[in-house]
Amino acid sequence: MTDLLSAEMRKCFTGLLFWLISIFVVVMSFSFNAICFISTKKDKKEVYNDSILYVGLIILPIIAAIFVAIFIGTEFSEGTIRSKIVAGHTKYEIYICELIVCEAVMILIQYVFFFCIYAFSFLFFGAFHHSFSLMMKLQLLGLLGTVEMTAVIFMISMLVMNKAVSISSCMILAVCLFVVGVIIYNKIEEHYSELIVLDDGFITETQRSTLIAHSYVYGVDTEGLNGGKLLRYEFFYDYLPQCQASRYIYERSVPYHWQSFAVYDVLTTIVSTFIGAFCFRRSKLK
Amino acid sequence: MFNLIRAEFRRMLNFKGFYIYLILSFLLGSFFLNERDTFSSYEVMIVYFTMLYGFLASPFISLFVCRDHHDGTIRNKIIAGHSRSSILIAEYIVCFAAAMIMFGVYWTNVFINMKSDNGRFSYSSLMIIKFMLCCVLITAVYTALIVTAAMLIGSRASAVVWTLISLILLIMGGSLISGMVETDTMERIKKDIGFYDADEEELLSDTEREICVFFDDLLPFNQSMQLEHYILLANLYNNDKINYASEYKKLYEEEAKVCRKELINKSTKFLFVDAAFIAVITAFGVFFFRRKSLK
Repeated sequence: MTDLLSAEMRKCFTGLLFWLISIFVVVMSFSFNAICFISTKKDKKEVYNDSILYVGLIILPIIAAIFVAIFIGTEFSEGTIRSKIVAGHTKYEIYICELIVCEAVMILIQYVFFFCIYAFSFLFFGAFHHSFSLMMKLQLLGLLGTVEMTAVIFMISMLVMNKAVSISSCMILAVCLFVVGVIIYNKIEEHYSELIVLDDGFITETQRSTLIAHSYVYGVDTEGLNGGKLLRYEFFYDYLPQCQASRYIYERSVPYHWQSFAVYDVLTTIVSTFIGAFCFRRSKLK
Repeated sequence: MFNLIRAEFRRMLNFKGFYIYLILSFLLGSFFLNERDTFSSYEVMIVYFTMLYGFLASPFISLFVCRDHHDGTIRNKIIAGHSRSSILIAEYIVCFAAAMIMFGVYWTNVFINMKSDNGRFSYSSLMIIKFMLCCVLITAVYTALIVTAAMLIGSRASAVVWTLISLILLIMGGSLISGMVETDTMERIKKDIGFYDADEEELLSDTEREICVFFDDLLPFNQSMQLEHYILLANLYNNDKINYASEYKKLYEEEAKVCRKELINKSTKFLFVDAAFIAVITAFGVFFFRRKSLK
């Protein structure tokens, strides 16, 4: 398995795809800073550039969909997976090795994105409101989201076994999750503005102090959002990596309910890996 | 050409992705209806489809169109005597027809829900037809862009990636332009009412503003955003469910009238802009596809 892993790593890091995506990420981080710089200069607003440090986490599932689907799709279309099985490796080993490589690449891409944005922001603006330790904590939380999304996308790619179809399905999934994330985030924001004007009879003292301290409080019904719908929204607000990343942008500390983020991310990673490995072992290779 | 279109359409009906997309269109309608709030009238539901259509259509069209390149059918068509321009136009017509069927499924779902809720449109039938025509043309622009790109790229995987990345960039750029135009409009209004000094520099110069407005009216995603914006605003200012104070009520009714007038002007403008844009993209596609070497 170690031989397989080192061979996969070598293949991935010497391949064109990884470097193209790295260059794309560097160009993108520069563009975000340049756009932010131009708009702040024109708007004459106070510079609060910390928000773009976490934009990378929001768009990372789309990058993961491109990288993982192409990387795995190429393995299938070139027949490398069959060759590995012929060489004596089990399907389970192949699945785990490929997953480790994809996870490693995506984590690396996440940190490349972060450090590039950090470096360019220092160059353009000079300072941040967030402390470096907080940034690292948030990136570490974001890493769990990246690992989760990569595991899900990887599972789809390994089960579809066709480059074009897996790229299509993974990218549709990434874009749909992004859209759903934006909708849920906006709904919760609207809910927050309703909560803030609620009378004391509808909200307890403890809930009000939580609301003021963390900009949100869970489980309080309003006219606009209540019951099962509120529960559903709050679940996805914690569960979706896009919603998690959007919350890092506006927080001045580690977000409220961060433990749920971590639990959901780890659980999804484990479940998708088990399902993927199980189905891949039973699948027929063409 | 008619035979080519018929054959392509038969191929489309045998394409599994087409049926998956029909189900997706139906689910999309149900999702938007579920997320509908007080200010979202049924007219906005028509526009929502066009906002997501680009993303949905990109993999679908790329997979469908590039299969011809992948299995060498495109060479057979040329050997059979069809011109390259007729091949491109036939693909375009079939993909557009498929998009219309998806739109039909989405729209039927919304319409049935509207009837079962005893809901109604807040605009006249003529305006609804105009909205639908606008949305059809926006869909046609997306289809033309993706078909042209897929025919020129050839590879299925590359076509999916490049068309989706281009669409994401187009939407990000479009949102940026739309934001700049909106902020500049607000700044200019504030300056006119004396909130700022008259000699203070504007956010955009006149030429910059003209360029931004041009792209804001040209890009399909921006067109959808503008339509949605004016419909929502008109509904917000003139909504029976909201009890505005009597001194503001008349003012808001006037505002709603202005929004509706602007909506009529914009939708008429978009019809012409889209028709011209489709012609340009098709001409561009035919020009380059004629020169493309097929392996």
